[in-house]
Amino acid sequence: MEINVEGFRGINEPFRRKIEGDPVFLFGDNGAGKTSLLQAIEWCMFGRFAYLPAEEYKYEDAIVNSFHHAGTAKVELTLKDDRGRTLKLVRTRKKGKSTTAGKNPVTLTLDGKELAGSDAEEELTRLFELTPEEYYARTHLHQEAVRDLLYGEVADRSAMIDKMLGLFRLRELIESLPILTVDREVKDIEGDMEDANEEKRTYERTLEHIKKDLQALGEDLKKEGVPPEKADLVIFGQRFTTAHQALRELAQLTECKIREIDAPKTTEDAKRTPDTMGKELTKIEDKRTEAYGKMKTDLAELTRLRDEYRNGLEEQDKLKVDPSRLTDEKATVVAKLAELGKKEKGLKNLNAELNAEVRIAARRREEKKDIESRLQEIKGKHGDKKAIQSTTKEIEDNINKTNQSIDQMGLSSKLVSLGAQYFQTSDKDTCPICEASVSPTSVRASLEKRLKEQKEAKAIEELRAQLTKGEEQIRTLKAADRTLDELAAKLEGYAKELNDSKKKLTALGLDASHVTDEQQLESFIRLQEHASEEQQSKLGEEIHEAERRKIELESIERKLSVFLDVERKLQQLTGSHSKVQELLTRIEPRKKELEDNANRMAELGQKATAIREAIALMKSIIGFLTKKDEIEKMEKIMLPGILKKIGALEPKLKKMQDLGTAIGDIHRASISTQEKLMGATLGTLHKDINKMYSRLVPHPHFGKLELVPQEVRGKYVYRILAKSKDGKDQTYVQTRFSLAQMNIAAIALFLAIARRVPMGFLVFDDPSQSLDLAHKKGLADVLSEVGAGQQILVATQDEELQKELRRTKQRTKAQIVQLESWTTSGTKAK
Amino acid sequence: MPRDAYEQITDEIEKRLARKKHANLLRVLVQVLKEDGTEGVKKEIKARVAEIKEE
Repeated sequence: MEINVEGFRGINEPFRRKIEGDPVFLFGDNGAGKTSLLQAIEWCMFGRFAYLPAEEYKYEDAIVNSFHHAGTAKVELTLKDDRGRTLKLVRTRKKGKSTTAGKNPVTLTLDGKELAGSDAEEELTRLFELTPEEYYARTHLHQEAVRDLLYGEVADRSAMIDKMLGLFRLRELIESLPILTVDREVKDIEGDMEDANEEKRTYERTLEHIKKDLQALGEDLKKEGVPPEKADLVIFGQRFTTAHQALRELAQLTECKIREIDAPKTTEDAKRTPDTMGKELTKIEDKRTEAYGKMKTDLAELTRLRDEYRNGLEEQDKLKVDPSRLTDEKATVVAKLAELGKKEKGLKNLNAELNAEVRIAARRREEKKDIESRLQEIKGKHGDKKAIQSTTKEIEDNINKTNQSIDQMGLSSKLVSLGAQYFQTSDKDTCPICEASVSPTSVRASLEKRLKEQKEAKAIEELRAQLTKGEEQIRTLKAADRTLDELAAKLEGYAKELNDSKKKLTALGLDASHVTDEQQLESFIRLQEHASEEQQSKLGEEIHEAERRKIELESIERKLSVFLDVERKLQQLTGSHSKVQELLTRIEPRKKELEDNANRMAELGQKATAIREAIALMKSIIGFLTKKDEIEKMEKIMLPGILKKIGALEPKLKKMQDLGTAIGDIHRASISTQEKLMGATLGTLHKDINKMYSRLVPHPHFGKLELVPQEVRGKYVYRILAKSKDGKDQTYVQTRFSLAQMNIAAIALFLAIARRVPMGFLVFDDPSQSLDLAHKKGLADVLSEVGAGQQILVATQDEELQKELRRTKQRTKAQIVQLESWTTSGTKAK
Repeated sequence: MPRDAYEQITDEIEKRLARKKHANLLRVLVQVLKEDGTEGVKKEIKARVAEIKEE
């Protein structure tokens, strides 16, 4: 193999390398371009990558190197097949907007023959016999493959293993066969068939029932004198004409209006006709029954009214009342009652007035008595008004005199006090007032004695007590004087009130001119009251008599009204305006007439029954004809229709069943093939797997691996079992193994399977992830062994693995390509 | 280069068919699988189902 790459992913400037049998180890730091080189091989072969899951590739072309001078990726790959033919592939790509869009033109040269475009792609598909996914699974060990193999869902894992084993197309075919869909379709058509057959059975049962009904109806017609074989619309029409004529006659006799019914022209008309006639007959019957009932009621009423009328006449004879004067008499009684009532009211008012006046006079009399008593008391104590005034004047004079005496006593007292003060400080022997000669010592002694005795002060106190007493007497007398005035005024008011009462009595029509005081007034009023009460009593008797008469007249009036009502009803029932005896003579003929009419109505009921029977026969005829039609429709339309439907479904079901059978057969044969191929492949594969596994430092207890197919819901899945060397213990790799142990198991599986792949080379991209040194040593030894028999490319940044691979270099003659750290110039070998 | 894998599958399955007349359908389905993948197979059978239903 020779590879020449430029402008592809991390590789910018041209990178060329021959790979000729010996292992090639690509060493370099992360990002140096190892993976880009391995991807270049895949891209050149298939034009795409199996693993490009990131959505961002839709927005950015990540195939073409960003720094390439021409913005173009180009990979040349030269391969040799097992027949020694040389295959040269050149794939290019001009930088586009996204990785997933854009063209990757390819040219293929095989033994000098050059193909391009779709021709080249078709030839490549034929030659490689691999999809990119299969190539990636079977030739290219990388972390995604390890993940799918061990950690993924069992369906993904099984698909991955089938891709590795070359059985994936078979799995695809099995999984794409829609067995359930076709089965469902078959069941749907079977359901339709069942429905159609059920419908057919229903028709057949119905037909049987209708035929039985027809036979029964035919028997009924025979009994009614209509031979079933002759039953048709003509016979129906004849029966209609007869029944219709009878119906119209009955309507006329019962005076009932009915709607016009046309003779039926079609079977559908005929079906409706009996019901229409039945409704009209019912209308007539209702009318007839009502008329009959009324006649019977009138008969009973005539008998009852006749008896009542006779009784009424007898009663009138007994009362001897002239009905024509009854109203006038009642009016007179009512007028009299009104007049008497008015009088009674006047007397009652007079009594009320007198009663009020007598109470006022009595009160006034009592009050006057009290006032006169008080007047006597005052006069007895203080005398009359003149005496009181005289006494008051006298006391007032005394008070004035007393006041003067008090003033003089006061001045005298002051004079003694001033004299005493004077002679206290003066020894003059003359009086300062009258200039008479005095002995100062004697005067001083005399004045001091008077001061000590306080004669003036005591005299003033006595005078003031007299003054207080006088003032008290004045107040009492003045109060008595005022009371006398008040009482006199009241007496004057009473005299006026007496006059007013007299005037009121005069207004009531009573002469009270002789009355001079309350006593007389009271006596006069009481006398008048008594006279008025006597009048009222007489009036009451008159009113009672008038009311009794009025009630009597009203009772007679009511009886007369009832009698007249009976008379009026009798006149209505007999159809006359006669009265009394003449009216009575008309009752019996009328009763006879009503009885005759009622009997006639009862006879019409028999006619109605005959018409109803005729209608029933019409119904039987049309029912018979309808059943005949139904049988014809069932036999000529319904049953042939459903048989046609069943006939159409049968081949459809057959074809669908055939398709289902064919798909089921293909499915079973595919499963059988899958089982056979799996058995054949796995039978020899286990030896290779365990050979590889034993070299890669296996699990200390579970030292053997086994790939076990298991059928789950009609599909095969693979379980990876680990077993102890003695075969007694076993486990699933996923449940007990560490990450490194699972990676080792995956590498063993890959190597065992990949050695069988006819591609001629294997690619290992960073295979030592999560492995310890012992496993790396084992891996390096195994890779060197594999590389001895097969072209391998190993890319790693793991320095420990690099060291181990270098250790095997002498034995493997491997080509070690040490890549420089990446720059914008791209990948370069040291 | 190996023989066409699809032909291999067809031959192996055909050998195991209960009725040989189903081989025609098998060949059609494998060809569709080869050209249009699993969705193509499903579509082919759905089309046949639809054709029968419409008859």
